Amino acid sequence: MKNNLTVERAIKKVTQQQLAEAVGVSRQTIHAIESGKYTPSTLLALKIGRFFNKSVDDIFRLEENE
Amino acid sequence: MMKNYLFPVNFKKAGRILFIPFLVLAVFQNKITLEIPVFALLSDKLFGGAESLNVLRNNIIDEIAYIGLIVSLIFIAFSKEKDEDEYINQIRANSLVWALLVNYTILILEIIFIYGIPFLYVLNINLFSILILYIIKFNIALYSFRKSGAHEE
Repeated sequence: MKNNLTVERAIKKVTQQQLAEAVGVSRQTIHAIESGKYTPSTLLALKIGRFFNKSVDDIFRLEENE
Repeated sequence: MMKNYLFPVNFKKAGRILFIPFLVLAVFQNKITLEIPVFALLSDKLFGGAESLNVLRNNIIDEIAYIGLIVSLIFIAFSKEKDEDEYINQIRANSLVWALLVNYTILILEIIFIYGIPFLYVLNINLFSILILYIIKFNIALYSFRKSGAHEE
């Protein structure tokens, strides 16, 4: 799964820490999601979407082989 | 949300504090005696065989030590982290599977290579080894997770 979390953060000018606090996880979890090491739960993905005022598939996208 | 069965954060510290005296008690269990009547579901008969549902006199130091060690290790292993979240939950699950597989691999090797009374001694170690393996694996994984992206990007 790909995501453009880093881009969305840059647009909104929020740090990993600020996003982490807003959605209730640790900053390292945000880092792991951004670097593609971790696929968030549906709940967390929805919270991230709500934070950026976007739908989940604007931020997270399946890769071709998935 | 799925229910998780973790203890509150401060149970970890309590577990660490309790672990040391119970470890000392376990090591010196043969040097201390506290004999009291205990109820037994099953026990040895004096001249072979087994009997059930009776009361007998027993040195309870080893029982206290074993229960204390198990409880303190469970507190250390399964208390929430301060920053517990779904990623840490996944680290827990992976560490638990790893510990289970390694523990049973060790047990299979013990079954193949160890016989007689020494086998009973190593089985004793197996009572705790799964918890100890889990604690080591989980803490190493947690350490590298916390170190990951140490600097804000």
